[in-house]
Amino acid sequence: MSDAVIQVDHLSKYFKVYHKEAGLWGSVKSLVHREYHEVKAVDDVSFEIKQGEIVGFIGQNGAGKTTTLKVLSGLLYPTNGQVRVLGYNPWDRQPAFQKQFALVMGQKNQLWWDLPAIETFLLNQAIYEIPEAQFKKTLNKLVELLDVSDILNVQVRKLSLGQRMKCELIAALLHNPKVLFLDEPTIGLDVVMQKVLRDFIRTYNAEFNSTIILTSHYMGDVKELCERAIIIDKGHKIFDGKLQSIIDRYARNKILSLIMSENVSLKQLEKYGEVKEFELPKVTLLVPRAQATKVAGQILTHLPVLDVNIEEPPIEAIIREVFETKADLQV
Amino acid sequence: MTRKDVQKYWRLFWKFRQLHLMRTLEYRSNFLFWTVVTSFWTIVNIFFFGILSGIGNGIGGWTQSEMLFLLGVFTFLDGIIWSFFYHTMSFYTKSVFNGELSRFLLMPVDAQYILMVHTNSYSNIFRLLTGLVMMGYAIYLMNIPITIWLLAGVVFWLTVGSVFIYTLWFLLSTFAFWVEKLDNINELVPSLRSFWQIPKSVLHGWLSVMFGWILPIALISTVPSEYVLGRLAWQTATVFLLATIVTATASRWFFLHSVKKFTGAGS
Amino acid sequence: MGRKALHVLKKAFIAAITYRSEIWLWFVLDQIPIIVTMLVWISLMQSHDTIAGYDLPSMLLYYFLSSFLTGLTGTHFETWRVEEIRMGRIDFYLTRPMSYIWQVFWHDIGGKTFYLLTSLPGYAVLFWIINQNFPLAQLQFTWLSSLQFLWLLLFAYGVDFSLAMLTVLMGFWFEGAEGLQHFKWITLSLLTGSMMPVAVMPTWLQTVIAYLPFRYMISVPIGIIQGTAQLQLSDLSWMVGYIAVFSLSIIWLWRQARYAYASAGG
Repeated sequence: MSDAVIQVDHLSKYFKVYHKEAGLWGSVKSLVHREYHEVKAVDDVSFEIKQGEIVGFIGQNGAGKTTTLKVLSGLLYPTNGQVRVLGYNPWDRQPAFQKQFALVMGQKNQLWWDLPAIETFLLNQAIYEIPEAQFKKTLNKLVELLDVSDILNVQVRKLSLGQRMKCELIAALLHNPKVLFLDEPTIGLDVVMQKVLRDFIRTYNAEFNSTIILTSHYMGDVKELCERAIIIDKGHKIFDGKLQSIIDRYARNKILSLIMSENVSLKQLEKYGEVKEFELPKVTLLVPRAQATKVAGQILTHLPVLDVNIEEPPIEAIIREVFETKADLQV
Repeated sequence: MTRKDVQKYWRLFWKFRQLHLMRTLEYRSNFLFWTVVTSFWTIVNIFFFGILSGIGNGIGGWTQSEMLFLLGVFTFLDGIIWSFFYHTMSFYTKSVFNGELSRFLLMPVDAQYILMVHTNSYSNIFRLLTGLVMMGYAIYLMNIPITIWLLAGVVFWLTVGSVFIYTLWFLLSTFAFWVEKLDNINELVPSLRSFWQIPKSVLHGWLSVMFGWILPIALISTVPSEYVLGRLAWQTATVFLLATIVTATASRWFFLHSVKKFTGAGS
Repeated sequence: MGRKALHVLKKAFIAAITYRSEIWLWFVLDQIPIIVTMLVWISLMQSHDTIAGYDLPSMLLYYFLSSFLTGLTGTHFETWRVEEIRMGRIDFYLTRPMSYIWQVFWHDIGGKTFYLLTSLPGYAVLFWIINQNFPLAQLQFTWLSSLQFLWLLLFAYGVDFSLAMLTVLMGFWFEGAEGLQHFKWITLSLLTGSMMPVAVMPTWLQTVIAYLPFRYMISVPIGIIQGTAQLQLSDLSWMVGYIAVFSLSIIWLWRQARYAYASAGG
């Protein structure tokens, strides 16, 4: 096998769930007989990730992203397939392996609720056997990067969600993991805090050359941090490659945002493309990707334009289209 | 396990004690309230058995003083249970259901150990102390000389009893991996406490066989008490010791086997 | 009100079915301390023909009935109800056209109905097992005693529910209010006579119990069907008076609680 840090080979994970009929009779029936169905949370997924890569896991709710991360962390046993992370079998749960990775789940926390975050950090120092000098150095660095020096001694329950998330990240990174699994780390955070966390993740990756797998429903996270994306749909991997290639392939249009210096009619604009917004002086047009520059030139020549901006469509719209059209991405 | 590992686990144990003490001091009135509640339970329990013991001048062939010692053992072990085991097991069964167990499985520490030590309550100190006082007073009433062997033996059998209770409880709680939402599996062992609240001699017939030999929970208080009273039969001691070893081994194996079934709660 | 109540009751019944293993286990767990106490009495009675007027069969029957009545009339919703209030999760109760108190009541009845249906066979088996080994005393059922017994069952549930509800309402002000249920359990186990017959208790405690309503929950109903007690008019007045006091306390506390409630999130 290659020098990849994470190797996933034909991974499958199936769960059994039971379906209960609605109503009282359904509940009584379930006392004696339950109908179980198999759910293929992950089905024959393979990929490799090299040291230092930041890879985005994209998928709808229930696609299998978190399940995959949990298998990579050793929390779940796969139904089929093989997984190696840093050369280890994750579900052997060897301490030597556990000291080299971290799993951060945005909706779950490890900080002690009633005590200041620093107490959890000290506990993690004991659990991960981090030497004192290294602990202090790493802690100071992380505190500086996330700017939390004034809240370390405040009870966690009194912190805001953003502050708690920062402290969660510190707690997860104190032992300098080589591999980081981030499961929706920015969920519920405001836009400012999202940017802070993204900047931090980027800096952390650059400084420590850590390998990061990130799942997020905020495409902004994926777009800003990940060059490579793996798209999972109903447990199957449907794409694995550069994020830009999806944009290039599936963003059929580009967005022209115009500020008009004089009034123009809708009819005049419709000659150039599909009008998405028409609130003068602001106008938004969708034009075919290949012709975007040419059309922009024509508009500038023939219409009274004060300002023009050419943009890609939002990544969310592209991904949504991928799922809605069940696009053949030829994995 | 190396010497370094032992030191690490020892340090972790005290680290968690320290954290919980800090947390307790954050909520002083809560601590006081629960100390009062546990003291109440202890007093009512002693009151109940005091009345029964007074009626029959003892229970099951045990005199009032002997019953006092046995009740002291029970009260002390109760203090251990409510201080260390109950919250641990409650958390354990809940964490299997709500996925919080994930956090412990990720740590580079034996998961069963960290589940065992990560939490405790300080509200049962009164119960622990009451148990010790009862034992001490009973020894005084019965004029039993206190020797090193006596103390060592009591400590040994109390430890065996604690290990037996803990590993049996852990074994049962591990069924949480197999049955959907079985929180009150955690209440089974506390309910069974009734069997070691009384001398084993109270049980007869199949109950005596069941709880005196097969699953010897009736011996938990009886064995340390009989040791002090100088009438512990070697057969009884052997059964109790063997049962503890078997339960401990089984609980470990079952946990390692069951954890493969863990699905975690989805996000 | 009837339809709404039935709806709440039905939903609670369905919820109870979902976690059947738990409920069956609770039934088994509740019997263990009673069985052990019976064994202690069997041991004590080896050297006594009667204790405080009870022979062995009537003592064993006493404990069996005590377990049955406690299971039938006891409430256990304090912990999770207080947590709901503390976490601010009772919004949808408050927006429904049905009083929160009534919703809690009918929900408990729904769960209790399921418990009754599933535990009755268990109690029958337990009765048979005990009777095989130790002949239990005969029950004394007449029309009058049955009516009195039924009335006392309702009273017992009313008191238990009222105390539980008062505990829950305290959750609007005090964190950890659910801890008060322990005082309820301790008090009721001693003062109802479920821990031991009142006649066995010290004289001073019997005097205290005589002035409280709790003996009507276990001790008196058992006495009625064992033929050792009868309800007087004065007893009925006491009970009605206590129910009135509890009900008014709940109504008053609920009025105050609505102002204190802070809905979570936003």
